Amino acid sequence: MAKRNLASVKITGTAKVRDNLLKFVQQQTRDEGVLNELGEFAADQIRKRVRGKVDKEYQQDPLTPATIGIRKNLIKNGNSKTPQTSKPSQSNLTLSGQLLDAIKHRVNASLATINIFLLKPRTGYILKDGSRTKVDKDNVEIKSDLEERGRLFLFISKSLNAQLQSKIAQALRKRLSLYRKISSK
Amino acid sequence: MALSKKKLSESEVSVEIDLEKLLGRAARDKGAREVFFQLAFDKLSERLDKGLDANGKKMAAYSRKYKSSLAFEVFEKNNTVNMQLTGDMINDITELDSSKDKLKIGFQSDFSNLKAYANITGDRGSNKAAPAREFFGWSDKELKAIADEIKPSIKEDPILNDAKILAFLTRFS
Repeated sequence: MAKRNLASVKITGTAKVRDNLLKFVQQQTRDEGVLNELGEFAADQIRKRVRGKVDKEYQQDPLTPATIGIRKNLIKNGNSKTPQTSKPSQSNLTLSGQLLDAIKHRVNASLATINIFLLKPRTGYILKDGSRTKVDKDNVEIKSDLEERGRLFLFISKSLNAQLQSKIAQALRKRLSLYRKISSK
Repeated sequence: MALSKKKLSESEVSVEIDLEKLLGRAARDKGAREVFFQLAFDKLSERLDKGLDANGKKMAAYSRKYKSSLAFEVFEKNNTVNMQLTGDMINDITELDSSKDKLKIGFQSDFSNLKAYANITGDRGSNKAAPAREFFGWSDKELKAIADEIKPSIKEDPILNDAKILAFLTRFS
């Protein structure tokens, strides 16, 4: 019988574009290196799970015909992040890739927290004549629009949460004096 | 006599390692057990990074359909069959309920267990045959090598930090 995982992960959304990933209270987990590694991993996984459509919790609703039409032209003009597998009807919050690529992390080692947030800037789409569209909204505003339409993505899914906890446990094991002695040989 | 015993069913994919044979009385030392587990996990990960199964053989190649999928492109996979896309299954490997002298390693969630079973047997519940990839387990040689790494250092007294870490690890299990 598997042992139950009792540790909890809290995600708190704030008015700003920051989501708390994890809070630790033990001294061992205030290592900036460990926290940075976890933060980078979490940000990367959210990006890939949404884009790759491999995690049910990040699954997006189908696109409207109008959006599919717009995407068709944008893909033709070379705006696709995943050119080999991109389809106009693909609902994975990815066209140019700018929104998900803007997911970053920041660590506060003294508080042992990792914040996942979005960088604001983005560039316009490439048009047929090679020029770019005007940028009306930044990534944070786009995220708000998407959330209003039920398209959530900046959170930690259950399976990602489980993996992060596993990685924390691995990091802790590697801090045991016996492990360190063996690894330093 | 073998140093580990495998169990392979839809409800449980696990390996029970005879720690007493490998570490003697230290089999009951919590710190030694945690380190043994971590070293075993590290060894498995190293092997998977090379695309090798539990017998040291190259695992069956990815299908053409999978290699041309969105997920394959997004996760920047290459031809090395490492049993990982998101990593959820491999990182779900944990110590299961073990007797004092044994270390039973398996998968925490039922879902990971089913995935592991399907990958190892090639039985995905459909008529289509899938390649069997026996990725989970350790040879006696690997287990002895891990025990040989740990044994010389076990006798030394644990430090205060270790107690704190072990207490925190208990919360995860």
